[in-house]
Amino acid sequence: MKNKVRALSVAASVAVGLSACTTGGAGGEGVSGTSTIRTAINAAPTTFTPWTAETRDDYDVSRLLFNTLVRRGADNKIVPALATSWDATPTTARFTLREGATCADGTPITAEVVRNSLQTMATAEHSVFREIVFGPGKPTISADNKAKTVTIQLAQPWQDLLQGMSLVATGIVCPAGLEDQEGLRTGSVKGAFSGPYVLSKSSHGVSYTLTLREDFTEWPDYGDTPQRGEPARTIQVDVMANGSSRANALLTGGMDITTISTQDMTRFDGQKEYTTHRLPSSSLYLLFNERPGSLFSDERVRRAVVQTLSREAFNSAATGGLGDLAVTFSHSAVPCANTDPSVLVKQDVAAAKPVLSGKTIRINGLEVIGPQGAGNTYIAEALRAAGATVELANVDVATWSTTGTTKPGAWDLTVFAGINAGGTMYGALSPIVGPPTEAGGANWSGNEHKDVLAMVDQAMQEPDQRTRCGIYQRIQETLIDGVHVMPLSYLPAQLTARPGFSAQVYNEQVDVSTMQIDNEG
Amino acid sequence: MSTARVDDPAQHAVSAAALWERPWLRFGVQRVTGLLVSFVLLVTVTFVIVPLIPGDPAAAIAGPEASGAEIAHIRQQLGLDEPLHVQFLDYVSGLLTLDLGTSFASGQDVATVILARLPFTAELALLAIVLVLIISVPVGMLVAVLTHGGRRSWLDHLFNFVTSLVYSVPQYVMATLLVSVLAVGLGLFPAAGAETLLSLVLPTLALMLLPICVVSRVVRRETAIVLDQDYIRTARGWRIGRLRMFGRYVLPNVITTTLTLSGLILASQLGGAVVIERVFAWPGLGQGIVDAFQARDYPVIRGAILVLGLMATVIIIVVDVILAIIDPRTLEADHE
Repeated sequence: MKNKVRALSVAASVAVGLSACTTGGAGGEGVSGTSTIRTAINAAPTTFTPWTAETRDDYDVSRLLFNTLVRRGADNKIVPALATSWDATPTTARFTLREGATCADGTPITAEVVRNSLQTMATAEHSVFREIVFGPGKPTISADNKAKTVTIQLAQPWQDLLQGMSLVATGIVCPAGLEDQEGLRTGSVKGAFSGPYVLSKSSHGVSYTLTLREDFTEWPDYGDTPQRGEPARTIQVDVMANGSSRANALLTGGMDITTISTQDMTRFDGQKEYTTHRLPSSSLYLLFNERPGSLFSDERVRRAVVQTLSREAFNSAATGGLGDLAVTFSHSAVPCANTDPSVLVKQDVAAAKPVLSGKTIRINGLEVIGPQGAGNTYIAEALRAAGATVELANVDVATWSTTGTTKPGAWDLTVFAGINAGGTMYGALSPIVGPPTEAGGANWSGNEHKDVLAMVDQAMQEPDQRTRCGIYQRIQETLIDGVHVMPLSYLPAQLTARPGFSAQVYNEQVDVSTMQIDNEG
Repeated sequence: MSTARVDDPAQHAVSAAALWERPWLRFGVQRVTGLLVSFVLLVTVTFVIVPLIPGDPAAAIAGPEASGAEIAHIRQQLGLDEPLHVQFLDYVSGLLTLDLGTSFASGQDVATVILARLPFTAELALLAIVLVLIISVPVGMLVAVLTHGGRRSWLDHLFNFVTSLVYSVPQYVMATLLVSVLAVGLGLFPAAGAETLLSLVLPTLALMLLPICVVSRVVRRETAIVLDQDYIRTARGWRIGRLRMFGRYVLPNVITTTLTLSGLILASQLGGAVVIERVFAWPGLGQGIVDAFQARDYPVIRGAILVLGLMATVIIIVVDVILAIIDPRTLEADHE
């Protein structure tokens, strides 16, 4: 292999700004001659159907296989992908499609193909992001093949529609996939794919080989993507849950680009030939069970808990100090996310003690919040020190999720880990407001917050971004100041690339379809 | 052509008893019965126990940000709202047509999920056990011979010290050491994955070191006992060559225990190499079962445990067959 020495990444990263960063190798040995990128996911994809994608691994694989109408570029700006232009109001959006786009089996991607895919997503029995994309009610979707336009008419004003159309969940599934939905789910229908890659080989739970489509041209037009390489002809995706193993593989040349979310991130500190970008992967915040009659239906007790805790101490326990402190409950790059720390309730342990003394608090703890749930342990110990009796259950994701969504009487507080894959403020609000889980909703707290829902309705009708953000700011202040939530910190992850490979990060989210092999120089 | 009369109960009883006196037939019937009993127990016990794991599969699949309505819908789709006996009958009727079911988490056939991982597990476990036998039998015998009669006590102490030391190191520490030094430090072998033949080196090494210590110690002790037997003294008195003596009289006596132990080690390694698989990102079935537990993927958990359980039973039967061929007295022992 030809050795190459290059230096480019820092300038490139600065050039694309803080919210759109390139992670790419910047020196040392090049990768001349390879046309494959080797990467990893945590677990086998649970589905290849875009609208039932549940995990970040699902999103990443689907992002490579299915194209969307638009994408979200730097600073959440909507940029073209399968659609070249669009007109949007709070209740409608009309997208004009790109000429010549085809499915993996050669079927032209007409307006009707797009309509049928979106219609299926909007009416599917199980569609994770339907409400985040279209809002309440069923949309009416129409197609004009001649004009190459697709029009979406919403049941009620929903300003998040354009953002929704950038989500993997709205990835366009071609007719072959719609005809064989079981095959679509397992990834066996090659003609289903509208994205740059097809799933050419899979050994379920072990590895997946994706092959670049020769005829694919509908790459997202981010505008600021530094073109210093080419997309890989083959992407080899291995299932590798262990962060240390991923770091080892990167360090020994067994992997090219991957995300690491453990202390192994620090193994690349000072390793200049590797390029890294640290991301907030989950937003961690304290969430109370506020159902009538429960301990935390009383605001005084909630406030006392918040006054007891230190975000810095929690962050140290949960992330080893590697995470950023949070000032809101949403992902930090979500449009209109609060940035003002003064809205947070101040720590005041002395004031909290008399309120908490003698209280029994049951914590539904998620064990991945720090090593063996150290973040939860900190909270338990802080509350005990304040005089409360604490029952802490540090459990795995499935048990935690089961307790939170199906056993409303079994817990009092939890540290919620929101991945907010929708990337919208409404998506971040769903575990906090709206119908409770026992009534079919997604709200863990049990407090519907009708005042907040009214403000959401108001925001969704507001076309002016600044005014809309003002409403969302009030919502965040209402929930934080009313001690319904306590923002804590962000669980960090680190996109890491070997020399000669790169990927783009927009709004603190990796777009895996921008992974490139850097073959210059 | 004459035909046996089967309507005479006395004659029938005699022929059955006579057949039962045939050791291999008796051996076969006993083992097949054991296999069937194991199958029934595995099917029943895994079916009953798996749902006792805390956590709802539907909630696990839907994720924490899902609505109660979505979770209820998934439960219904998975058939989890059916009574348990209906689910059991479905499961058993599927098994009778060799259908292990469909993964809750991925929608793939359970057989496909297992078959994707099983070759990696089998490859690693078989290679490790073969190397364990190749290394530990000669080493154990050699140490026993060289230290027989109290000679070379330093070698005895050294052997005990080294095998005890290696045995006392937890497997995850051993695996981490190997990957840190030989892969990340010296770059001699791949650190993770199963892409090339070289990828096998470190996980195999990590998997075999502990059994080598155990088996070589057992072989050493068994050899020392055999060397003290009268028939060995007699063989020496007859001036039988050393090679023949060890091959004909010592090895068969040592191999019985060694093979029994190795069979058990192999059976446990098939499903129990989770730590090794995790450290080296080896895509084996052990890690697959852990993933299935985390996802509450009942069909995969049940299918994998069933397959591994049956494989363990078959391995033990194969070992018994080999032992019976080497030493037919084991057949008689079975009868007694």
